[in-house]
Amino acid sequence: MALDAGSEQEKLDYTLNNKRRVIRLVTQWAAVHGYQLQEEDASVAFLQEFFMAASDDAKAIPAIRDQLTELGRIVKHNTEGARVSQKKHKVLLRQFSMGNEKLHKRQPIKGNDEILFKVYCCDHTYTTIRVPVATSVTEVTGAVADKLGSAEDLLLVNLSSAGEKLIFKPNDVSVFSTLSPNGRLFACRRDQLDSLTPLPEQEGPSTGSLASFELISSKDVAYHMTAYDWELFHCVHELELLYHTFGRQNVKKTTVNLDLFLRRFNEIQFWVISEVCLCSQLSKRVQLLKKFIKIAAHCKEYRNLNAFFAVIMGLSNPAVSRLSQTWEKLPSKFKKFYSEFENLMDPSRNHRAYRLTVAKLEPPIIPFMPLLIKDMTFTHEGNRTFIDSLVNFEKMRMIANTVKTMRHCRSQPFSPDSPLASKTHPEVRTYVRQLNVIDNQRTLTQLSHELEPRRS
Amino acid sequence: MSAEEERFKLVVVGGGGVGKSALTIQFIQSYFVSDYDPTIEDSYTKICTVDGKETRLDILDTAGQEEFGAMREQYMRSGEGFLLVFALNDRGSYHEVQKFHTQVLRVKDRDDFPIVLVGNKADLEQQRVISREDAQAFASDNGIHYMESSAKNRYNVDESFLELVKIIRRFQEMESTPPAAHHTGKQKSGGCPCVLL
Ligand SMILES: Nc1nc2c(ncn2[C@@H]2O[C@H](COP(=O)(O)OP(=O)(O)O)[C@@H](O)[C@H]2O)c(=O)[nH]1
Ligand SMILES: [Mg+2]
Repeated sequence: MALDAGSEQEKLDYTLNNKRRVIRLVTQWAAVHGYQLQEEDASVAFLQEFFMAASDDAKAIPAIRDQLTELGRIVKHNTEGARVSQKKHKVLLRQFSMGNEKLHKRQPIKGNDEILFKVYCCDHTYTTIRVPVATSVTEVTGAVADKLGSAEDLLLVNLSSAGEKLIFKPNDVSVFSTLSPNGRLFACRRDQLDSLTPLPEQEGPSTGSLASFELISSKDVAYHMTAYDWELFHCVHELELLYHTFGRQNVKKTTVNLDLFLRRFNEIQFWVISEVCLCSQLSKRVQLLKKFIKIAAHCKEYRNLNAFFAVIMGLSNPAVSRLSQTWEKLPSKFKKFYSEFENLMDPSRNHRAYRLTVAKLEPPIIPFMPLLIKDMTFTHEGNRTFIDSLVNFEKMRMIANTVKTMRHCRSQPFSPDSPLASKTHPEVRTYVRQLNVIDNQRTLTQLSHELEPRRS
Repeated sequence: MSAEEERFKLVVVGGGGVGKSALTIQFIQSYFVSDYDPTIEDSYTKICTVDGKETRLDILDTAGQEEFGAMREQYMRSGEGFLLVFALNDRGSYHEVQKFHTQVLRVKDRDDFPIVLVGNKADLEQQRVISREDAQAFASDNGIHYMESSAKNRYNVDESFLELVKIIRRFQEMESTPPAAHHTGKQKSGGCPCVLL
């Protein structure tokens, strides 16, 4: 090597440089993983060992001491964090509501947090299990079988309100958060699958809740929706995007914070459809359309594109869009807004309209998540991870770019001049966090036909 | 005919794991690349020539969006032609594709629409559980075209998409023909198959 020819000083510089780079790499690696590091004993042990080794080196090479302080801080933080999280598991009540949400700022849910969850049987009886969030399907069915005292092989099923069954794979993990808005977890034997029926409560509300928000300005509703979305979005760890793309069951990692955020999209959308379809009075229904279009406009102003799209998609659902008597009465100003908004959803040329719009925005932004997820998925599926048994760095760079898009969106805090009303309307804050919806398309279509029968 | 470029939006639908993404990617990437970037405008676009005429195709696949049922509807609404894909070795996916067929017609509010039914994974012949005859019978009953493909072996991939283009053209030609002219067209069709525009 050329080193032999170099002077003693060059050798030292070379060594110093390399050591500094390794320490910088480890520091960055720890920063990217954040609290997720603490969930793995091996990572914490590695950090500790690495710190010891680096400290030894620092005796001989004082120039790396400045980096040691930072490294020491990271090691200490993670070691303590790991100890604390082992002792104290949070118990999450009732389908991921934190119980006392009013008091605490929402914290990310971790894989070893525990959750209390109802699992139903064919006869609609249920058993409540308490397991870590990252539990596998096999472990859940095991826990249920224990409680029921049955030794049979149980399947774990996501039963939607429409009666659709999705059977979870045994190796899947943390499936609690992937249910559809009114979906429930059922456990049954294979021969009982056909007799599974949804619970009555899965149908959702039978009356609208317009009264809860009609007197509150659309801007305030949009504000509270956006504030909640930001809480959910902030809790999503960048790595969850990777786990979601590459398959969380492959890494045995939960994507629960991401799942809950993605689920919110469906919830908002079904909320819009449900409210319109549950509003029997034509004039009120026109008011409702106006209200939702205004809410969408304010979400867009808050750069909450996810909620913006969810509302507009709700309005473009056939159960709503077919209500021609209602749309006819909508003032033309609103029709114009709506059709502009709809154009932004146009998927042509790879969602060109949306991509151009979002590129012009400055953070904080809540991006249209379904598209971000699609970009990730196609980057993954469209490119091999290994080429000739070497890592395909082009692919990794593209994956990183999408992660960076998310980082860019979150690089500024959401802190608009909060409308005064946010202080005087705690009930709106609560309302937007607990939307009751009908998520059965057939029911919604039926309701829609009752409101405005097909003209023949 | 206008000189404007012909452009169609094709939607690929089907259950999870049947090979929708594999078909889409195979079709769009004619050759292997190590850096296929799905965020750029042309990443789902392919220009091809069908019956001597150039056409630009936008392929919509709801990859990774299984949890967003409405995205599929959104894509369906803007689709001008559909590939309904199932896997020949998966009975569940065959039932699912029949539901999607109903959904497409509902979203389009039509009794018929340009659709090609695709039985994928033809390379797994030993594991086949849906016979060609069954699938063909379903397709015929519903007036749609049936093809078998293998995204793995690149068998009938381009052909499925291009067949759909032909069907869309025929469909749109029928649509744009006003009823009266259409009537005369039919009357004439005994002697001359051309349609006057
Ligand atoms: N043997 C075989 N496997 C296929 C074929 N097409 C797709 N696959 C595999 O089936 C799995 C699912 O494919 P994917 O394209 O992701 O399905 P999607 O969920 O419908 O998009 C992947 O492992 C593919 O490699 C095919 O024609 N033959
Ligand atoms: Mg796919």
